[in-house]
Amino acid sequence: MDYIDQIAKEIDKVAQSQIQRKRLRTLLDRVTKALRTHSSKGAIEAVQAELDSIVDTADEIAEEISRKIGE
Amino acid sequence: MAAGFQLKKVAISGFRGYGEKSEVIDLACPVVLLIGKNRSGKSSTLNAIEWALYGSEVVGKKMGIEERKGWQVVNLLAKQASVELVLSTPSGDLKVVRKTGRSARRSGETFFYIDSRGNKVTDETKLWARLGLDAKDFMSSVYLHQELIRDILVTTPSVRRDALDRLLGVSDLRALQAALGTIKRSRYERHIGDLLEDLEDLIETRTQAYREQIQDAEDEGREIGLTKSEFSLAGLKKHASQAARQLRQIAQKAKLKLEPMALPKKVNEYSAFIDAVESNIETLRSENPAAASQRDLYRKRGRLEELSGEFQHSLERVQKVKDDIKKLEKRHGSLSRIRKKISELEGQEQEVKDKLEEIGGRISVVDETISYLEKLRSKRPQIPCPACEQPVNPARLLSRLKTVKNQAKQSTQQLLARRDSIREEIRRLQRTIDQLQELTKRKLPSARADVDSIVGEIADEIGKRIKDSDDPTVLIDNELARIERKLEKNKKVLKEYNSALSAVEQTLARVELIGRALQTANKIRQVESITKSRQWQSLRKQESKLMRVLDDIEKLSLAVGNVHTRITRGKLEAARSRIVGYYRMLVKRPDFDTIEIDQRDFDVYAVRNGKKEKVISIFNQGDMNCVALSIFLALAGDQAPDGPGFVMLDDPSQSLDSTQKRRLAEVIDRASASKQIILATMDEDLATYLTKKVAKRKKIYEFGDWDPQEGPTIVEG
Repeated sequence: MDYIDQIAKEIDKVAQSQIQRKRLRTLLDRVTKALRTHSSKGAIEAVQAELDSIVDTADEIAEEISRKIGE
Repeated sequence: MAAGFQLKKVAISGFRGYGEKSEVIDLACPVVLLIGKNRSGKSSTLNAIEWALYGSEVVGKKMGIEERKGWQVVNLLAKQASVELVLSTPSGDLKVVRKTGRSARRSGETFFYIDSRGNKVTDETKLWARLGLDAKDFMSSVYLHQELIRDILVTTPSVRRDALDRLLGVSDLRALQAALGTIKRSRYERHIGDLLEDLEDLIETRTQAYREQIQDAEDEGREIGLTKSEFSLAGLKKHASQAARQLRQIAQKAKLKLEPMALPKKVNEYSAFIDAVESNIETLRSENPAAASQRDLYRKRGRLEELSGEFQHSLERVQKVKDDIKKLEKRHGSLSRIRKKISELEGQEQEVKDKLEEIGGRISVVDETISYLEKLRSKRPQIPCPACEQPVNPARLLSRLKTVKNQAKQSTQQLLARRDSIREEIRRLQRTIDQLQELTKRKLPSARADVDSIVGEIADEIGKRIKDSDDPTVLIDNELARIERKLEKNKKVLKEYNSALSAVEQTLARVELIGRALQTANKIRQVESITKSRQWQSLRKQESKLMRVLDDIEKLSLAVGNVHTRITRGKLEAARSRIVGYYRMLVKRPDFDTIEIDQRDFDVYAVRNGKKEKVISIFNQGDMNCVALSIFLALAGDQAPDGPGFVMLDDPSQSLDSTQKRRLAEVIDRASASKQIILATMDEDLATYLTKKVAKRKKIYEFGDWDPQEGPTIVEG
């Protein structure tokens, strides 16, 4: 990937805060690393794994709350 | 001179059209022309270069090229395929070796490359990284073949875009953007949204159900005299104290002891209090003396009623035995009389016996006399009587004696009948005696003993001695009347007692209703407080985190998209003059003097006075091929500046007329200024034009007849 610097500059433009900029660069690093191994599927899985993990945690908390409501 | 990797030399053996003998082709030249007829091994040469670099990536279904499916890599007459490719780079030569076949696999050396420093590397992905292109990029931006021409101009927008992206060298960007685009934001948003909504609904439903339970308790309470204000902790305590007080009073009166009952100080203590009170109520009910007396009286009454029946029955049995005796005596007389009668009958029997003996004696004498006379009858007509010696006629006497004998036999039979009759009568009378003795000596005393026994039991039950003069039935009736009076009295006592206990139960029901309502109210508070709990905050945090990641993905996708668009536009803009230049050289159409690539759908348009038409709608195949060649040659080599500095063109003159072929040779000449050109053609016209028009130093290889065993015949021209 020869365009990382350009994407990084673009991130600086679209990011709404310094923290978001940092996060976006980390995310870019992750997906480009996955892509470098010739796997766009790997790049998707890297991002999806994080989202699924958040959703799984939310499901677990919601289940616990439901149980408490039902008691 | 072109930058990046240049092809320097290739040695091929056993690969597709090549025989086992290794063919070495020197490629160290700006332009290399492979000229020959169809099926002479030219394409196998280009394929060998491609296979040396990318191996199995360019074989089979992976590449998406129809003709590559079922591709035979090793020549059918060879044991193994081997390609050694030497590339020159600014830092020195790089040698790539790829082999396949049993011996190559056994030795484990199917691929390696040796870099300019002499390092041997077996990881082919490292070579691809150095080239800066993957197999698909190479097939789209370095190697011009008929599939690529179709992809650039004709096929679906996504394939067209893919081909042009690769030509532009932005396929990584597009892959990145596509990867980010596959994340469905709405799916995740909906999931977390549904989760929160379901929980809020659950809280609402549960709270509503609890409120209804409280309302039901209050309605029920109103019916038993509770006011709304009593549904409080104070109300609970008040009614609990009242219940305890009522119970203590009852216990005191009944002289019974109670188990401790802790008055509820908090709402959650009310059910323990209720359990303790209910347990005490149960004890008071079961241990109350009036209730015990009542139970005893019921038992005694039942027993006396039973004994009364049994007594009557025993009397009836005595009477029946007596009646049976009377009946027998009436029919046969008393015992002494029957015995006397039997004695008389026995006398009569003796008389008959005596007569029978007498007749028997007489018959015996008569029989002897008859025998005697029978002997004499034939000897003498007359004989003297043995008794009186008077002469008697034996025949006459014999006749007389036979008559006597017959009469005696008749008398005997009559006497025997008489004897049997007497004996039968005696037996019958004997049986009657037995019956009378059974009744009088066994049954009657037994029935009388039963009566006495029952009378004894009655005496025990009523607790009084019974004299012979007493009537047990009357005594039982008197006792039953006394029991009834006592029962009636007890019933009143018990009614009052139970009524007092029921009053306690009613108070307890109030305690239960108030406690239940207060506990339900507590549950409502607990459920409502869940939205302020740490867990709820954690859930909200997960929601924020999810939104943040989704925002980040969207933002990154936007950034990549912006870069992708900008670079694509920039590259197309930079290559525009080259594309148009090549186009104008190849296609001299006065009606459409220029072409442009739409940056949104990547369709190629022919332009005339600002009016655009899709080339596939108006151009013939030859012009379209020229357009594809213009785009390919203008963009090829731009993808990875440090990557391949060469292009390979396989049969580029298909569908081109003679003029276009001449112009193509001029275009190749121009393109060779910036990149090394390897071109394979069977087109003699093009070969001639190239020979004449290309000014750069060039190597020409003529491919002669192809032999299945030996492979191509290559002669450097």
